[in-house]
Amino acid sequence: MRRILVVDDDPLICSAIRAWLEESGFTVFVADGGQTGLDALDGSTFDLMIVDIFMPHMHGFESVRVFHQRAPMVPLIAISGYVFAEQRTPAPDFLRMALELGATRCLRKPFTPSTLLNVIDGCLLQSEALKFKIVAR
Amino acid sequence: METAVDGVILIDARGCVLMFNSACEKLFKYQANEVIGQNVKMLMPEPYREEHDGYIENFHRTNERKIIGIGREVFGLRKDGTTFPMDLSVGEAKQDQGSIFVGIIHDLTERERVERALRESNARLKAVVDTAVDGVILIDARGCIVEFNPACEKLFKYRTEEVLHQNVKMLMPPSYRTEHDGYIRNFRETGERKIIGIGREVLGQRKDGSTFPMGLAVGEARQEGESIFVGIIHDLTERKRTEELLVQAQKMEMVGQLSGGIAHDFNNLLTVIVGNAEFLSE
Repeated sequence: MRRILVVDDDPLICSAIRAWLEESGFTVFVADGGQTGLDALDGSTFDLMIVDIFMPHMHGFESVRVFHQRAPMVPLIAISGYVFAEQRTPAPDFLRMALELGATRCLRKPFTPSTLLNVIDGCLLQSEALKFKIVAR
Repeated sequence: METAVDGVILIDARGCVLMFNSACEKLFKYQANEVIGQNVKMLMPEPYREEHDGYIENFHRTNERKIIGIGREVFGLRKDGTTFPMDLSVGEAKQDQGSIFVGIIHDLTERERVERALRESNARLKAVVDTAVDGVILIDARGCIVEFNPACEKLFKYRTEEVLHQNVKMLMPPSYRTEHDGYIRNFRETGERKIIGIGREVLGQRKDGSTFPMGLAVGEARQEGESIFVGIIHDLTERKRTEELLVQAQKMEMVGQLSGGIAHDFNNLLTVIVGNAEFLSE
């Protein structure tokens, strides 16, 4: 039973994602913020975490770095709904920045359940392969 | 300061010195016996010496008295050859043998010195005001402009001659004018000084009608028993522009955050709606 941690301050997103993932056989824990998410990490182990990039009280991208540092072996999917409305400011490259901070994959909202599940599968396979490599040495 | 007693000198109709008082001795550095019996012109430098000969001669020919009774500023010649400024008044005393002339001599050396010091002081002050970056403007107790420095000319785009003796309210936008009239009137009636010493932010009005923000500090000075007011004007246009930019930047940041926030929530909603639609259809 794969355990997935979902961290997002929007309860609607959390319950929607939880519904989709549980339907596919995952065990899902939700946390509504940075602190509760970290507490959950301390309490249990997870096979994957899905973390919202822009949450209050976490300085923007810091959430990615913080979660990744707390559990470096757990693949992290960064999800973001934040779009800069001001046309004049160039949209930062979220993908690259999140990856640099430790995300395995990035998804921009809105995404569909199938997309999410595909990405999750990809991450888990990658993670397995990595463990294998480490063990094989 | 030693107050010199005025010198008195008596001469006859030919210019021969008859009397030379001690004050004269001090002024001219001659002993009386060195001068008495000599022609008075020994006490004068050129061109006064030649002039005096002319007066004497004229008097004899025409009986005209050219400088009698009038005070004149001339120069006296000392024994050591140095000259000094003096005020000379000449009176006539008629005698049986003929006229004798009385000269009263007042030393102007001290006054010269004071005047020169004043000129220098004025020049220094003028240099300060002329080169000041801030505007300096002086008005009298009725509000008429009496001084308007080059910095003011630059700020208000008027030449000094265009504003001199006009009321200072021509440099203010209409809304400030009645206020200023009020201040002036209040001062003249009650002696109250409402904005003296306090700096204020106001608007100035240029020749072309445009306005600009300025800091104004007003001081008071007395001149010949009258009050004059000194205004120091500091242009605040740059500072205001920077402040405005700051406010704009802050606004934009807030708007950016706001719309970003809205987009965030909107995309969340979209995810749920679209996602659930797919989810439920399976």
